[in-house]
Amino acid sequence: MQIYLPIAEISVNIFLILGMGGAVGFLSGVFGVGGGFLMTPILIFIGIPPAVAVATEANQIVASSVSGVLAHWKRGNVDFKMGFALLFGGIIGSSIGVGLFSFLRDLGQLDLVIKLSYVVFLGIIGILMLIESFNSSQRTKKRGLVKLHTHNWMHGLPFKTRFRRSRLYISALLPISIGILVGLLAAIMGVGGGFIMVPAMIYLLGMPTVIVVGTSLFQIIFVTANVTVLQAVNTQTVDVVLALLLLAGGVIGAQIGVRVGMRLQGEQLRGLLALMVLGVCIKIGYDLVVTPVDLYSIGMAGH
Amino acid sequence: MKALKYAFVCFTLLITPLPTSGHELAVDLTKNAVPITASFVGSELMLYGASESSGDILVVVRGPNKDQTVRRKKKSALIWVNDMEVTFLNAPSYYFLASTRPLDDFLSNDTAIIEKIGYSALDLKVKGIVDDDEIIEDFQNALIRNKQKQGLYGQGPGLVSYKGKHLFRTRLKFPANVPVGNYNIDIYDFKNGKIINKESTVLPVQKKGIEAQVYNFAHQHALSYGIMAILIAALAGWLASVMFRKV
Repeated sequence: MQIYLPIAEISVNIFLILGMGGAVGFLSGVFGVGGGFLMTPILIFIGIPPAVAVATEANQIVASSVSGVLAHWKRGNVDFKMGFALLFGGIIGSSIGVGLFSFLRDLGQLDLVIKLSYVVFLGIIGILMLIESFNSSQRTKKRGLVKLHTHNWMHGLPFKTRFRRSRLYISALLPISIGILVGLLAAIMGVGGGFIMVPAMIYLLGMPTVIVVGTSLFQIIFVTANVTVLQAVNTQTVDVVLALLLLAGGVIGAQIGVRVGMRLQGEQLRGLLALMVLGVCIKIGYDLVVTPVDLYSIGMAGH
Repeated sequence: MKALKYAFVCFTLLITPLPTSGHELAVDLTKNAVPITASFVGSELMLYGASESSGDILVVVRGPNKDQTVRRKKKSALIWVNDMEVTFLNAPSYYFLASTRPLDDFLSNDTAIIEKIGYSALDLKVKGIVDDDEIIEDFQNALIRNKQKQGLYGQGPGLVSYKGKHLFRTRLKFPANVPVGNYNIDIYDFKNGKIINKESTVLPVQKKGIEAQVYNFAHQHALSYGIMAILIAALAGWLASVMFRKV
């Protein structure tokens, strides 16, 4: 059954979109990741204009983060003070990002920048995850020494603030800068940015792991909401019909995924996700390198 | 229904005595609009008519004019990057040409240029200054090639066929990615290489129903649309967490 998307202005198969939402939702349930970094490239593969894919995916992530954060909030696993610091940076970063997005679109380089960002970030994350899953399966044999607290240049920064819930006394500039970077990525790549923020909060800030996911989800809701509104106003590329179809499939997939994920082995799972991330990375990278069938293309119609 | 209407009109045309001038041309479409609804997958309609002279029929369909930017990729280091662009001002977003015989058989160059018939007579204006005519030609060919690939440009001799001596018809195709706007359809009747008659009609291609509402809302009240989009998403997320809490 085909449906015509009012903003993307193409006709797509409803079951394909629902299925994609379900599959990516399932994976995000199993692995505890947002899934934006998989969904946006897949939307582009099936012919959704990249600008629409990025803006619409931001809208969908609002939904998945809301449903995720509620569970964490109930268990008290959200550090709101840290969340607001991240959010402050996130709003700045995503607002700059949306401006950059329109600028690059007018320049004709938007597609390239989206794809390059994907190759770089998916490449780094995929390789790190692969190494980590390999190491952790080694670590079960010999336990390594983990240093809990190290003093370095970051602790000399001004605006020191106490984050009670995270048991940290650090410069507010740190979470704000992380927020800015993640906000930029959210606007340009159509992702929540959890895959950057979570490791940054654990390894860079030294936050306790239990409150990391809830706090990052809290920040993602507002940053992706900001991206959605800014994209709707600046580029008119948010397709609510597409977003609704994706999230209908997504919420169901995610719930099944969570239940399946609890029964699976952690390390192999992580390795599998790493391979998938690298697969998407290689596919996008290959398309950039291989000689196009036609060197000429018609640009997106301006408004 | 379409076939019935076609048959009816053909019948009417047959029994109506033709005037004696010898130049009469009458045309009509099986649909007077192309509505883009939620289930739109493209549309086809019939253009049919009667020519008293039984001349060469030429049908030209032009979609709304828009500025079209064509970009060229170049290999830079390892990857392909857009390095040059040419914008054609007011190029037809849709262009389709159908005729009874190959154009060269009945259409002179002068007529083609005056009436702007055929790709070579599109006469596109370039935005800004591009010195090299060869480059402009390359980009214009690229525009036509890419539009053909999208099913938005096309020309074909033999696509207009006579049924009997005076009745003719042709099929007009609009793919799912058809641009919205008013389409101008010109129908020419040629005899011995001269235009003896011309009819014109307008076919609106418009989003209808929910499609139109969503699109207009997104463009006219962008801020409210954005806020509504996040409210819907937040509500859906909350509903999902409530619904699955006890499963």
